[in-house]
Amino acid sequence: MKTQEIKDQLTNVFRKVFADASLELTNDMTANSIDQWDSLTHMVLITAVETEFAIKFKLKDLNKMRNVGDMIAMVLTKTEADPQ
Amino acid sequence: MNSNYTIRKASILDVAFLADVIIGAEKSMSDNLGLALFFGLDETELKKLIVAMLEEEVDGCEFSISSFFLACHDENPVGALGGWLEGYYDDMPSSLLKSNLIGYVFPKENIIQAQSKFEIIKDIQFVREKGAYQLEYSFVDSEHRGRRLTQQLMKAHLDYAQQLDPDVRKAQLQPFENNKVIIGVHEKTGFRIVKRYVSHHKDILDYMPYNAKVLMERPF
Repeated sequence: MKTQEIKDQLTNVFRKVFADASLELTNDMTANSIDQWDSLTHMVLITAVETEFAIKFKLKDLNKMRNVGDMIAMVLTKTEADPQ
Repeated sequence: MNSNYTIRKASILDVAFLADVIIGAEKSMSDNLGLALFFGLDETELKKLIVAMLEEEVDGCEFSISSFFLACHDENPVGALGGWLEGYYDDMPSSLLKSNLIGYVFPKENIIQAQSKFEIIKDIQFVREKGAYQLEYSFVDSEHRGRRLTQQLMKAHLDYAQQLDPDVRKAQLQPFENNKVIIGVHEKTGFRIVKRYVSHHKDILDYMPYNAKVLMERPF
């Protein structure tokens, strides 16, 4: 998958989880950028991303994830390692 | 302190005891085990998942083995208190470390079904203060109470906090308001209630031990 494809799919996942159809992702977006992105919705978001891309993040990767750009990079790595 | 009692850091060998500590503390003198009720699990299933989270050995949150000091009697753990310096590990908030652990270990379907219940506890969720030493999950076995073990565990944590950060300014904890015993114990070690969080959600008492939490602080 290409980075833009991942970003587009992730945008759909974020819009669904945060119930915001106009949400646009940027690489530097963090939990502080979205009001509803708290510790509770964070675990739902990660679960939804894993389901969407049929991947499973490693815990150490999750704990290094700082922003949306990191998430895109990790999805890219995972989908390249295990293409659907 | 009685010479048969010792205080030490927890290790991977203590995970079963720590899981019981976490479950006991989560109940906070009630029958409601919020973590189990929210995620549609029974207590046995939850204990296995807590053990699995502890065994990941992530530092810096309430599900970290390294967060716990234990009180031991004849080398057997009989009490525990968790604590960590918020944001100390890679600047990550403990709430996200905890969420990542739950998200990693708990079954996906249980996480998805829990989402509809998040609104219930939203008003009693604290944002932990970066740089403050956080204390969580206090427990002493009933047979060993009255021996100032919680105070000894607290002292071990406060000393440890100052080793981690000599400039640390405050320690915080957030018990449920119904737990007058633990609030009283911590007041004796210098903590004061500085804030109160209340949930008025109609279902809160179906899931949590009480509908209010207090933020307690103590300066170093």
